[in-house]
Amino acid sequence: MIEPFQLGFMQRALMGGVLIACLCSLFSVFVLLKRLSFIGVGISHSAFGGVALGFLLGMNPTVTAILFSGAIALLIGFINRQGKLHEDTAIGIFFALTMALGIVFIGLSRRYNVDLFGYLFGNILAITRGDLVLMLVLAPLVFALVISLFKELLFLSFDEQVAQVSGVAVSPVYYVFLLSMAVTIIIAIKLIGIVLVSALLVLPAATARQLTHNYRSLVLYSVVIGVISTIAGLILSYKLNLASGATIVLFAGMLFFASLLYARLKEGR
Amino acid sequence: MSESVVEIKDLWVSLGHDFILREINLEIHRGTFLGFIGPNGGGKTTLLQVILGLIKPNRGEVRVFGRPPGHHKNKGLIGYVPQRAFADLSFPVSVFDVVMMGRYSKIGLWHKATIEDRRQVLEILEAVEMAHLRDRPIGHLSGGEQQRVFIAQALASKPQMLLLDEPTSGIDSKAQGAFYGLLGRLRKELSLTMVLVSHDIGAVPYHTDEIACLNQRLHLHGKSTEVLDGNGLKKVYGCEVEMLVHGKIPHRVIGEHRD
Repeated sequence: MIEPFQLGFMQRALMGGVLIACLCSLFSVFVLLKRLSFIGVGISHSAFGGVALGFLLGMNPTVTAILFSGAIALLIGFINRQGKLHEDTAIGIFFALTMALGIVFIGLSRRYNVDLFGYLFGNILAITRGDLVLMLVLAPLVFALVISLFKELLFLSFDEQVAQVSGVAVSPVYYVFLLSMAVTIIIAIKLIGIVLVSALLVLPAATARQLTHNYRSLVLYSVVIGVISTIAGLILSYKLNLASGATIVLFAGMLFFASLLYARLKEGR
Repeated sequence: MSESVVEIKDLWVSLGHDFILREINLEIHRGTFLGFIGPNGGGKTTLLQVILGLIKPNRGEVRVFGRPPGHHKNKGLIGYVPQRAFADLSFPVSVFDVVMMGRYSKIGLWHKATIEDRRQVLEILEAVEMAHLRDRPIGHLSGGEQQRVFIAQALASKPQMLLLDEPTSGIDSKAQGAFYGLLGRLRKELSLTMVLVSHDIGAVPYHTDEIACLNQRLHLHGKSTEVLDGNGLKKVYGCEVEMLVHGKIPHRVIGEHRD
């Protein structure tokens, strides 16, 4: 079982994977409670534009993607709060535009040898020591930030208007949350890929929700489920020679259906 | 006359192209229990949201506790129970958690609830007679029970004014009497100013001090006791009110307003 993790790249994938799983699972709780899964999809796909911008400008693609997707996340949040355009319309528009921009940027950069496939679908071999350092710095920061805003996020997920009236700084908290989610998505795409990362922002909490009625255990179960899925997915992908991101997501999906079955059986008892 | 907690002068509000509130002038005095009645789309919820600072008026002056609505010094002074299609059954919080949310702004960013916060939450849960259900998931309660919990949430920050939007929708008529009884008791015990919005013109005049009829314009404002005699209805509502018998249940119906 531990044999794959004797290899350097697998060790980096494991460390990075556990960090990412903890973060994504924490976010998945609010994605579930505030029904933000489509925003997750929008932000993660905008990363393609951000990565391509990095190639075009000759800068670190992770850095440009954090800046680009962070800006898109804030913009989607702003449009959502203005209430003039439906959130799903705004996301649908930005989702397509940023992907299109990405394709244009790649064309303009005239660099066709870049590992786009790795960004789209994840490539654990591509996780460098530098990426790991970035994850080790950013992940604890973002985790601490979201935990420290936990009660405010809980209230605004439950009833945003009442939270605002009662004096919670709803808008700043929401924007900080979106920005943190963008950072999390960007540091997760090397492992999981742009196309699949949004699944990790939904599945852990959706699975945990079948097992508990209490938000505290929901957070704990989500993180445990996310970490188990990541480790099991990495081992399976190594053993079966499959794409790591897809295997992690499929394993998490399997746990979700198992939890549904469990909840159904428990109900019927 | 006691001091005004809400003063509204020549208020106009549009949502989209049309004005939903026109030329509203209103004062709400400390300690009053005011009921707004009127048809759906008459602007009742909008008026509450203007008082709360959630909607900006197009024209006019609004002062709440002597300050513009939404002013940071007003935070915690107003409790709000919005019209809900009832709590999301799947939201994983207990009754106690829901009421504690109402104290979050007092607790403050980066801080955790203290023993004193927990004591205050329990106290308010006892006041709304829901303490025995404090560990229940909110989605497992009946409509009436949920509404009591939301009132407790709104009261958890110890506000001076409570705004309720259609609080009796979804509560069966048997439980409504007890519900209004609870509002009356809370108002006395906590010296609250209360504003209630409802299209239930049958019950509201019986339980409030003053009523106002709102259908884009304010057609009121009078003592509920005067409204209860037949002629008063028409005079105070400023509109035709008739009794209709539909099936076995009599309804009061508001006719067209003549402006």
